Amino acid sequence: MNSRPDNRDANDPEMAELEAEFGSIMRTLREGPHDIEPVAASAGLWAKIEHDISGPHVVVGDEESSDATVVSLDSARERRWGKPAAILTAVAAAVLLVAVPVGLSLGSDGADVDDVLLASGDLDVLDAADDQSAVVELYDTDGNLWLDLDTSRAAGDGEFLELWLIEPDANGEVADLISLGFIDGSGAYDIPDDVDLERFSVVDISVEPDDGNPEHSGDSIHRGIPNSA
Amino acid sequence: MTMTVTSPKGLALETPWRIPSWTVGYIRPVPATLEERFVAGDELALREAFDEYGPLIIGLCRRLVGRDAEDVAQQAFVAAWNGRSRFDTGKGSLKSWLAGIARFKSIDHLRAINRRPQSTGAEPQDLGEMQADASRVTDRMVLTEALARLSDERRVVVELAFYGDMTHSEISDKLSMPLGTVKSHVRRGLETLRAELEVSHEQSS
Repeated sequence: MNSRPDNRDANDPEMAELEAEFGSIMRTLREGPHDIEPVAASAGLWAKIEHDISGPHVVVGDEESSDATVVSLDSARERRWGKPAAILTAVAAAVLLVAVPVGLSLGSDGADVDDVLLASGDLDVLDAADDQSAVVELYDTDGNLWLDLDTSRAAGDGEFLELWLIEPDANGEVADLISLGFIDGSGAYDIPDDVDLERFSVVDISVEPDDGNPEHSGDSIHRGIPNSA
Repeated sequence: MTMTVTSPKGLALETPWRIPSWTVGYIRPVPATLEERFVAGDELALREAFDEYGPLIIGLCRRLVGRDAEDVAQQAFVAAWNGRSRFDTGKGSLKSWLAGIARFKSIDHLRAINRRPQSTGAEPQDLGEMQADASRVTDRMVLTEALARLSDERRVVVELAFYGDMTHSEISDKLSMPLGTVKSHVRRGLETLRAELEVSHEQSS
């Protein structure tokens, strides 16, 4: 409807070529800029999104079945383990963390997804005067890797705690790093599919000022390399 | 300053962790883009995308579905996050990706509404037509937004060519720019816009 007269560029073969290649884009462009009015989000919208994305999700149910339901990992684990927090606390209290190389499925019907413990350990505390601990366990659930973090730490006012995976270079310096997001005490943190944990072998927790700068502040409070189970 | 991290008392020997030495005050070698951080699972990147693009995405949803705009926008952001591994950071912007997902979620929403019994006796809408409308509106938004991200010179050339309906020669005269440069800007600009459009057409799930 808004197509321009063809004769204007009739003797320009390049124009015809563009029309052939980008015709629909060019027609849409000629309709002019969009006229969509931005609408400010209402106050609670972000909280709803944050709620929906919190915690990794796993598929629970018959793997062959197409109607498997997606549930929060927390509830899935709770169903099978009882109270995982209690287990972790007991492990943490023992200080020496015993790696348990098992598929921790307690179900016998084979329908449950196995969480396989791959590695675990206490993170080192980088400030000797600091008496808080952080324990992580690395799990594989059907090929999805996630970290279970157990810590009593909470961020102070105006700051965040952020969980990172770090790739060390040959000198033990930082070659690269990936953020797994902000943490608020204990929780399960999804590791993106394409992360090579052979490379990003170090778990790190940093204190981040609320300054909008997404980079690592350099202020780490915990760090360690999980020990293979 | 380099600091060797030593294991705190009580954890040494028994701990199954290797203790590396670290430079504590390091800086990330290459700053990651919003897109890269989003794909890497940085929730702060999602928050930034929400702050930056949320109003436009909600505006798009309002145009497409009306009063349920926020619900649909919420679904779109969540789906974008959950499907982030399918987002190709090298191809286009997060904004286009979000717009495309908002379009899909809007169409889903309209389809669901259409299935419900019409208590008011209203005519059920033609789904095919609604989808085509939603696609047109979204494509136009994606292209406009992508155009704004082109370099200034390229953007002006593309705007004159399509918004201003000028021929390449006219643009060349007006900007005192060689004709070849004008043509090159138009083609490269269209290639960029096409890539953004393709990003918006990909399904998040």
